[in-house]
Amino acid sequence: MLFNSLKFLLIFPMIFGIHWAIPAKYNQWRKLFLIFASYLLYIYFKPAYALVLLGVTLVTFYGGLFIEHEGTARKKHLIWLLTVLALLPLLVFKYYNFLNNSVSEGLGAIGLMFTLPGLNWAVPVGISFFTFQAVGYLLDVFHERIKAEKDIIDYLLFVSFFPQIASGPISKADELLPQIKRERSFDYNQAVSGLKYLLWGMFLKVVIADRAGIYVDTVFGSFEKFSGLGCMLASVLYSVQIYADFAGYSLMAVGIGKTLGFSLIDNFNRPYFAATVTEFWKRWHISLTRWLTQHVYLPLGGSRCSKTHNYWNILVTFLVSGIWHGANWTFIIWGVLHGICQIIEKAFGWNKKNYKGAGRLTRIILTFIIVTLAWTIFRSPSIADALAYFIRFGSTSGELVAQGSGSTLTYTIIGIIPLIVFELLCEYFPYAYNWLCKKQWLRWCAYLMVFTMMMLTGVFDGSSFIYVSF
Amino acid sequence: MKKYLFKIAFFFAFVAIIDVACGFAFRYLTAKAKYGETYNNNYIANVCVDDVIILGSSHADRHYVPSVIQDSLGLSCYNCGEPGCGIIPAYARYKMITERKKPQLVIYEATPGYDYFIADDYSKYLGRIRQYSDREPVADMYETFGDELEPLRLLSNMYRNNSNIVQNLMDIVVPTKDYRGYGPLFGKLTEEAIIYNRKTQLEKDIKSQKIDSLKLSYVEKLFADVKADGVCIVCTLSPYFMTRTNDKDDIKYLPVIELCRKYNIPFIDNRNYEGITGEMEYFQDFDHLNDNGAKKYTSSLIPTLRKYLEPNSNYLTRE
Repeated sequence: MLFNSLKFLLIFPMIFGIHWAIPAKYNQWRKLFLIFASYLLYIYFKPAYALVLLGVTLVTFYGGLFIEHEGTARKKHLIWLLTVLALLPLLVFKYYNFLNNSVSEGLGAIGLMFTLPGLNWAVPVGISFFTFQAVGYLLDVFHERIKAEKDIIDYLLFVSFFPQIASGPISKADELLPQIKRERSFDYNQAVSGLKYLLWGMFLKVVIADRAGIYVDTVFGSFEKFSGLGCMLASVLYSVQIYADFAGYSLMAVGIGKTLGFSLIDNFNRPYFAATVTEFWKRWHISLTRWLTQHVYLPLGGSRCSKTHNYWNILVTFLVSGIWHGANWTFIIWGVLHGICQIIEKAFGWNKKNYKGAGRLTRIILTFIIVTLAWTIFRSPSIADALAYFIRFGSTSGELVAQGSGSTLTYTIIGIIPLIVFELLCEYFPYAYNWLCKKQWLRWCAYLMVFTMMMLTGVFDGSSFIYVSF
Repeated sequence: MKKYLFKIAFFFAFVAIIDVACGFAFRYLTAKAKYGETYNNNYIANVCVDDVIILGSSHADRHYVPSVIQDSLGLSCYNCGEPGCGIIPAYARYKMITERKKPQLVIYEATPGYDYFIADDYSKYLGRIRQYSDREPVADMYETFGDELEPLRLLSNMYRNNSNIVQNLMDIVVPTKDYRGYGPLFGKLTEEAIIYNRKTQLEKDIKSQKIDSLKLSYVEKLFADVKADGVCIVCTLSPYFMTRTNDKDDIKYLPVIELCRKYNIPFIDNRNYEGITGEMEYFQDFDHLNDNGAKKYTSSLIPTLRKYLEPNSNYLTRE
């Protein structure tokens, strides 16, 4: 069940109430209740998906216990086997059809006709997220960064914890497991902060992302009708949409976690203020960047190797990132493009430069343009469509703005203004932001304004989050 | 925890006050609107007592000129069509109008995609009439088509007026010409648009579509109610730019043709209308007539409408 649905907003107070009604000394019951709630909410998507979730959980839990006591040589073989086993559902559900089609097309090109039957299964919600979280745990045990978890109840909750299951953030075991084990008592400040996160996340989703999405879908669906500027506007709005959508989900996840006494990692740190693509990845989907750094980039050798090898490591890491996002060449090219940009930045030393003033502003705009172009590929159904879309950039004929979309654009802009103001304050005027936050009446006005704007201008069609399908 | 729950309750108390204030504000803004969509919707829901009403989606809205009907038939006319509208708002609008007065003639322009094919969900159709969800005909539609939590959402004035504020304010301050609900399109079809549209038209045509029996039952309900009200009704299909002769296109209309036959309602098929279809100067895009085309088409329809308005006319024809 998704956070932006009214059903969830009605069910959540019950989960909150029951969770805190169980005394802290009965922490085991609290955990059992949260597992029950997590699975129940997950089953709501499709009951059979819960079996995949349980399967990945059990493989990594017992796998962790098993490899902990093995000798180094055997452990190395076992970790491969267990990782592949844990990744198997992800590979089958997400990549089987893509691989099958790609191989068939490849063979077809050389005159060989061979194809396996396709799978007509929907991909389980959040499979990439919980699989990576569980595999991350397994690899941490293998590298002896943590001890294997002995309590299956704790581990079940670690993998299935409902705020983060559909779209992350991808938590590390050494962060979340200790919080699960600890007897948590209600922390007023943390809970208040959680509600603020929840409110702002909801605002980003329903006011900005879903509204911008209406316009973006119109233009991307028939871009031949639009002028180059019209297509560029849609690309920029897609950058806004995907940020508001994913950051909105992450904020809601962190917020819900906080109200239940958990601290989850903040997944975003105002990414569009990044001055380089390298910096962008330190601010965007932070939990995935961290996972890829720890489990792909560093094992490949990281930066403690020759320059060429280091560049290769970056490219492979972002290739994995692209593949992680989905089984389509558009995601792969998107990942590779980000990798190449970072290699260029590293080669010229741009990633180390401390840009200031107009120079920084120029770099921020340039990075935003690069990221937006990459998002355009990401959004396109195929590489051919992305190319056709880019070619359209040069056209002067066609509509600038989709007919009848005036109010959609107006609502989008109305929604973006508070986002820009808030992010500018946090990024460049933290003292002013903190000073404003101290004024209680102003805070309350802001909460009420955000809520009212949400009700008056939000899109309440219960649309899914973009990253849920990854 | 007590302090926390108290503050949440306090917050929602504030929200409730704002919500009530918004209710008053929107009622005021809607009544004050003199132009555009807000005025049209308010007129249809609360004022319309016209003799001829036009129901349907963009084809209805863009193709039937009330002033032409008024001048030719001597009957007042209002175009209650709306782009992307379909049977759900159309039925509710008919019922809201007949609460005041029964019209003499209903022109119902059928659009299978909105009227009885399975689409994404009903919310986009219900959204068109959400503002009037306290009215019985609209409440009935919500009961049938809305999800189980919709009554809860509709308690909020802010939700009921969601996405209306910009339009409401515009319709107070930005004057637009009153076409009595008709939405004229200006401009002509270009060669470039023809090339593009031929491609997308082919894609549209090959899409297989399934019937939504619930929506179709409301088309039937509309026909049955209009007949029971003793109102004359014609079901029409207005011109397209491209000649439509293939069987696939015909099949789309079979459900509504069946219903017309069942209720003895004339089904006027003008998709391929000589003198209009294929003429670039009469179209704004592939599917919609421009203002000139709409005037020409409405004028040419007058003799047919006059025939059906004659007392004791007994008809069942597919023209």
